[in-house]
Amino acid sequence: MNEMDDDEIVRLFHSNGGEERAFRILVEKYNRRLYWHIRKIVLSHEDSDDILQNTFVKVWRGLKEFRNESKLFTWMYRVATNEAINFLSEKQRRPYGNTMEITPLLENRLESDVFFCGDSIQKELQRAVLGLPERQRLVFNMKYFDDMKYEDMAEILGVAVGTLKATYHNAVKKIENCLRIADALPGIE
Amino acid sequence: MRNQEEEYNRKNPFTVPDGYFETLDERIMSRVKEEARPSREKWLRVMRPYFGLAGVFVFAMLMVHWVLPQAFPVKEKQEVETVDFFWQTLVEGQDVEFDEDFNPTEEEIIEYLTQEMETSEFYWIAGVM
Repeated sequence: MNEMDDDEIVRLFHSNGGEERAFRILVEKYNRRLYWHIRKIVLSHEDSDDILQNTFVKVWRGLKEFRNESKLFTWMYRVATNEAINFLSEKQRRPYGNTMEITPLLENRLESDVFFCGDSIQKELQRAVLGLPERQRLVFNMKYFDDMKYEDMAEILGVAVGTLKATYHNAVKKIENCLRIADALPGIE
Repeated sequence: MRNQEEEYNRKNPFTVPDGYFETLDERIMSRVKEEARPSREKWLRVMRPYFGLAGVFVFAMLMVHWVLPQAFPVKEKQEVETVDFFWQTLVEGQDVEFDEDFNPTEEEIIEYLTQEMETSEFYWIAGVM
């Protein structure tokens, strides 16, 4: 079956009585991609599930005002990214304005994740990715795992393409230094 | 497209519980439908706990103002008796009948009281009044 393109979905959503059908098509089309994008940021399956549902609720609300000024796909990714980052910021927050480091928390999650099926090299890679600053981690995940175009990433993150290329390059260098096994990793450029 | 998915799966070290994606669409749709319910219904659902709290507060106020005074009326009576006793002692042995044209000003009453009473006694009366 041919997948309905995003413009058609938006038109159907704005047509009389087409809201629910259009939204169902949208959910079917993007739920996995958005889930994996969120999962790479927060690692835990349960949290990813909650964040994904919140993301779709926000997309539902926002879609009523969506007028194709940006691509539907990049807009949804932006909503999902913001939801996931806000979730981590909430986790970091402690009483009296203090914050805690999020990296150790995520490392613990990685170690105890029953839904991690990778081998030891992939686990090492995940540990190295967790050692990156938040922005670099996000860019690395989107480029390496999601294989996203820089142009789309620029629209999602609101950063210039050149900056993203430099950020990805720096992230890869740091990971290579951290692992010294980059040759064993599939597809790192 | 298939190659892209295979490449993605090769890199992705995470999994999900069995059947997760099969039920995901329905769970998302039911959550969204919940959000899309008419606002009056949602308003009632949101306000329900506050109505409960308001009910408890009204009940507590009824207890304080109506039930408790009826259950323990003695304390209030004692206060009345105290005030009566005070007036009795104040006017005891004195002629409390005044002429019709006796109409002292407030300053005159205060001056009289300050001359006739100890300061502490004066303040005590002021407190009772």
